[in-house]
Formats: sequence, structure tokens, C-alpha cells
Amino acid sequence: MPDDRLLDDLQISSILREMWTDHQPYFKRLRVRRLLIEMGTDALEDNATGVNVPAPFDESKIALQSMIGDPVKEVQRYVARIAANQPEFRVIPVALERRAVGKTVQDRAAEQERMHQAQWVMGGGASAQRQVAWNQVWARVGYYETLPDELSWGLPDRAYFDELTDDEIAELRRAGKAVPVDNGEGERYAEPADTWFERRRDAARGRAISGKGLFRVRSLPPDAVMARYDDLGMRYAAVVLELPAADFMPGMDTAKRIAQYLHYSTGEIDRNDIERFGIVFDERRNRIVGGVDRGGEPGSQGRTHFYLSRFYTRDEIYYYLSANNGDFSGGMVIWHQKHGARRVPIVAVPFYETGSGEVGRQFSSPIEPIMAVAPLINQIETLLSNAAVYNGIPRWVIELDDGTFLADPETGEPRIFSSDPTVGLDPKDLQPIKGKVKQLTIETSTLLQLLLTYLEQLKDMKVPDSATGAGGQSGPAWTTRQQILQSQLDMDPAVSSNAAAVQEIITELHIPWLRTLDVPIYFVTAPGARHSPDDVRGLIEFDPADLTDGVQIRQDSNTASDRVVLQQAGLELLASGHIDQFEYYEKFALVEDPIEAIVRSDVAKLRSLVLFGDTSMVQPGSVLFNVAKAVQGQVFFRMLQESPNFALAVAEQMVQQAQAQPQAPQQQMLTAGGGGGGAPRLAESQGIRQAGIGMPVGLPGSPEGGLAV
Amino acid sequence: MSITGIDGDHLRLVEDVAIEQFTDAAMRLVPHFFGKNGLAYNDVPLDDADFVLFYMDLHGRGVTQVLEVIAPRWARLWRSRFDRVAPELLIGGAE
Repeated sequence: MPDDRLLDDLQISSILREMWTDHQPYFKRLRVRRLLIEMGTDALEDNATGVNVPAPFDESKIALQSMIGDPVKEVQRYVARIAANQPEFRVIPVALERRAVGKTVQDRAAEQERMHQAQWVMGGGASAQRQVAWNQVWARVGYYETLPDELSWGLPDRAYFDELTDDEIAELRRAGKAVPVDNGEGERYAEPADTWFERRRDAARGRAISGKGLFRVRSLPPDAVMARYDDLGMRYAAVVLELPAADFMPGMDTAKRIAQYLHYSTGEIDRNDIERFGIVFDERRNRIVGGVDRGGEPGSQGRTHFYLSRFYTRDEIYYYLSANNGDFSGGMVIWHQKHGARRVPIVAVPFYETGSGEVGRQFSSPIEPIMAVAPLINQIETLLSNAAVYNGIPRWVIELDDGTFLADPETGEPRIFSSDPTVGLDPKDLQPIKGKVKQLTIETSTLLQLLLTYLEQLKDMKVPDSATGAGGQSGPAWTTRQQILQSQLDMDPAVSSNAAAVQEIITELHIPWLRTLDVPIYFVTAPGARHSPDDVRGLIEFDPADLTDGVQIRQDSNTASDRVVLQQAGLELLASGHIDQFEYYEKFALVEDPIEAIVRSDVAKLRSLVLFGDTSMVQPGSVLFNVAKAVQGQVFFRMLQESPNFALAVAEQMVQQAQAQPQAPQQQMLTAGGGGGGAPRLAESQGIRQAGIGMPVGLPGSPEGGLAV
Repeated sequence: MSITGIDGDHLRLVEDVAIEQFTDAAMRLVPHFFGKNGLAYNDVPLDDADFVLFYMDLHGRGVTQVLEVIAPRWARLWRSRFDRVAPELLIGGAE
């Protein structure tokens, strides 16, 4: 195993143990929350979830535990809103020499945007975003973890010919396929650099075509992450995952691989190590490729499990494997590497930041009050459920005239007549009635009163209906918009927080990593809206030297429902003349490029006029009408130039019409046009308003026309 | 862009985009104008003999003269083909 690491096993286990101890109260709170939103049958957890069943009901076979579904429902509603939109990547074009930004710079910026977008999607960012949003809501914070998909980018290493004979190497050298290389360890023979570079380039291209991204973006739940901060940000962090112990059982084939890796530098393989681990390490590509489960947060794997901790410093990553003994002692680093990011490649995405330095209290979430009141309601409902069950089973006592109960002669306790199995069947139960039969019931009115109070509070804590598109449907757009904006204030911190996290990932991690590439970045554009049938996903080559750090991430907080309301409000303002089209498209229709949108809108109006003669959208005499006429002429002219059949059809028609009107000399007709530029007017004078309409289906006189009929 | 959204640059852009789009749309419709078995110049390449007959018919009815004005490129193309192949065919046919 390489021994150039900065921290040894003992130091890492010590840091992990210290952080683990500090995080325990926080993790326990998170455990309760998980139970509240999962509503599992194991939800007792020191009665923090409010499903305690008091004696004597706890001995009943039909004791009921009741959990309300509101916490998970509210988490879902918040997540649906804050994860409604993907982050948008904006690269700011930078021109150092001139004030005006040239087209090349603009194009490069656009390509870099597409590259980041594609890498984000291919790396799993889109699904990670939804998971992070879920964690932001229920647990106050989610985490992104990102690394290069493979440390060597999945590209081939240089081929060395150490095992060839001198004669074979001489033969290769004569063919130009081997060159001497001295990288400090003596002269060796390797493939020429240009051949190697071409292989790397081809491999990079192949990866892109097969849809493999350069990075992997993962989401981590907060109960699997422990982090320490200093003034520069995250100082170090550990991702603690539970893995099934079965993955590490002695005798697994994969165990041998990791053992070999641990000793590959010395060649000494310890039999005990071979039997101990189950992680598969690919030496050629320098990466762990499998052998064990992906793992889950602590508490997710049942009883027999190991901890696999990914421990990050600003320079290195360690995989530390330890038994489930709670203190990380006795474990060992099974793999480590410098990650080259110069910062911990984990990014926190809080819902709200509180400014506190205490573990678990640095962040907050709008779901807090619901999480606080849910156990109370659970407990009351649990009690009520059991009381209802009790009351539903007939049990009677006999109240005597003096107000006492008929007692059991043996115990002295009130004699209870129960329907268990069925009262009256056993002759022993028959008693001379001395008083009134009275059913035993539990009085629940105070519980009900309390429950109603809490439910009323819970209602006020939920996402307002207007924020889910259910409210204000009968009011004008602006009032609904007002309600939406108000409710969005709750959501905006989470959305902005995600955009900021993605910006951190791109500018502080992905771009510096990409700059280490010695081959072009190849990527297939991410799927998006198609404006025309000609839009396809294309393979794009991007030179890492052209990367700029000026990346901005925007993320919209409007849902589809919000957009409808927003557009309606914008249309009203546009119609009343209070805003122009640019403002409408930018601020109300929320399109990426308002100028393009205006052009497309005007072109759509022209289309109905030019192609279909519809003047409802463009009034005769208006500026756009004149543009339409010019377009009509140009289209006609272009068709004459580009389609021989069309030109022929027009010419045939003109001849026929000229013959039908002998009083209009053909020469006069021709000179009226005055050549190519005048052709539209010429055609117009012939009554041709739309391309092709009214033309003959065949051209009389042509061989095909005659033969085909 | 001006505050009204209407200025020379914008209108030129609208015009350019519209011409491109509409020409593409209209060109896609052109084959339908002629019907399934209608005029087929270029749909089925005419051999030289058929072309000479085809051109002479057009010329005789004055269609080529109109073409010289409205679509000089096609007129030139067909005339030069006619000039190239017709003498040989006509002489050969006379023999």
C-alpha cells in the first residue's frame, strides 16, 4: 500500500471517534425525525415519537399506536416546490483586450454552459438534487459529494515496454512505435507521446458518446456526514456508511483483491488480509470498483454491519474500514489518494443557516414546528385509539343503589362483566340484579379537546394552499401571485442555497479538475427543449484552456402552477401597456433569452399572414405588415431560386394567363418585373399571393406530365 | 432593442428568421403542389432525349422566356444543357 499519506490509521480513528461522539445527540434527533416521516412500526425510540402505550394497554394484544402522516406529507410538499427546477448554468463571457465581447468568446461561453449542464446531468446531479432537497427539508441540510468519475478520467495510461527484449524494442523503435523515456527512475521504453495522446483522445471521445460523464455527483443524508469547519470552510469531513457484514465475510473472492492491493508495493500478501476484506480495487485504473454495497446511513443495516468511512481532508481521501464497535477503533485505511481539489469535495446545502456553531444547530428548516407537534398529536391519538378500543369492548359493572359497585366476593374489587368471550354464556356470571348495569368506559373529552388544539396549530404550520396551486383559483392573477410570492419567501433560502452549492461545485471543484485534463473535454449536450426538428443532441469538443471561472448558477423557485399565474399577471400588464415585451418575457414568462422570444413571437405573427393570409394578428398598414410583405416577396424569390419545379410552375402559369389576356402584351408583363429582384412584384401582379396556392398539379407539355396521367 | 421593441435591427432579425423559416416550410410543401404523378422535373432524372423534347416544348410555348426573367439560373442551366446535347441528338435523329 502506498505510504505517502498524511494521516495514519490511529489518527483517523481518533478524529472519527471524536466527531462521532459530538454528533450523537444530533444523529439521535435525526433518527426520531426519520421515524416520524417513515411512520415505521419501530417508531418508539424512547417515546420521542409519541407512540408510547401506557399500562395496562401495553399488555393488550390490540393496543394501537397512531402516527399522523402530516410530517411526511409536508416534507413532500416542500420538496416538490424547492426541487421543481433544475439549476441553470450561466457563463459570463470575459474579454480582456476589448470592451466588446466577440462572437468566439460568446460561443465558447455558450459551449461551456452546455458542458457544465451535460456533466451535471451525466454525473447524476439531477437526481442528487431531488435527494438533497428532501434532506434540506426533513433534516435541515443535505450534502453533495462530488469526485471525478475515475481518478485517471477513465483514460488509458501510457504503455511501457519493460517486459520486451532488446531485440523487440529495437524492432519497435525502427517502426517508430517506441521511444526512450526517463522519468527519474532510469531510462525505459514507452509508446510515443503522440500515439498515447491520440489513444487518450479517442478514449475521451468514446466515453462521451457512451454517455459517461467526467464527474459523479452524489447526495448524502446528514446522518451519514460529520464535518468540522474553520474560517476557510469545511476543514475535514467523514461520510460514515454502514455496510452489511456479509460483504466482508472470509472466503469471498473479492477479499483477495483488496488484500493484494494492500500489499502490492511489497509483494508480501498476508493470508489474514486476504480473508478479511471484500473490496475490489482496480489497480490499472486506480479506483475501487465494487465488492461491497453502496451502504446506508448509520442505523440502516440491521445488526451485523461494518462501517466504511470516506474521510476527506482538503488534500486527500481515505477509505477507513472498521467494525461496528461504536468507536472506530481497530479499523484500517484500505485505500487513500490525493483528490487534487484543494478543498473538501463535500458541499453542505442547508435550508436555512442559523449562524450557530453547535453541531446540528447550524441549520434550520420550516418543518421544525411540525416535527415538534407531531409527537404530541401521535401520543394523544395513540391514547384515544386505545381508549376507543377499550370503550368498544363491552364491560359492565353493577352500580348499587347506594352508589357502590357490586363487588367480587373473593377479591373485594368491583365485579366486571365482560363480553370476553361472551357475557351471559357462563352460568357463573349470572347474578341477582340489585342495582343498575353500567358500562365501563374511559372518559376522553379532555384528550379530544387537546387534540383539536394541536391540530389547529398544525394546520397553521403547513405550507399554505396558495403555494401549492390550490388556493386563490377564483381570484385575479395578481392576488394569487401575491400569495405565491409570500409563500415563496419560505422556499427561496433553500432554492438559493442549492444554486450556491452547485456554483461551489462547478467553480471550486469541477473547473479546477477539468483544467488538469490534457485532452479535450467531449460531451453530448444535455436533453432539452427542441425548437425545431433539426435540433439534435450533438457531440461537442471543448478545450480545457478555454474554461472560465465566471460561472453563475440560477435556479427558479416557481413551479409550473406558479408560472401560469405569473404569465397571466404579465399578460395583463403587457396588454395595458405598463411593460414591454422584453420585460414580459424576462420577468413573467421567464424565458432564457427574451430577445429570441420576441423574435419568435413576431415571426409567429408573420407566419399566419405570409403562409395563410391571416391578417388577424398583423393589421394592414402596420410596420409588421410591411415586413410581412417584404418577407412574402423574399420567400417567393427564394423558392424560385431554389426549386426548379416551382419556377417552372410559376412560369407555366404566367404564360397561360398571358395567353388568356391577349390585350396585355407579354413583353410588358416581363419588363414590369425588371429581373430577379422584381420577381415578387411580377408574381403579385399575376395574383399569386401565396407560394404554390392555385398552381396546376401537373405541367402540361412536360414528358412526365403527359405520361403519368 | 428599443423600448418599443421595434427598431431596424429587430425588424431585420425578424425578417431574416422569417424568410429562413417560411422558405423551409414552403419548400417542404412544394412537392405536394404538383400531386403524386405531376410534374417531375428532377424527381425522375430526364435522359437527354426526353430533356430535349421537354425543353423544346417549353420554348415553343414561351415558358423559357418567362423563366429567363423570373428564374434566370434555371433558365441558364436548362439552356446550356439543351445547347450541349441537342445538336448531337437532332443531327443523330436526322440521320
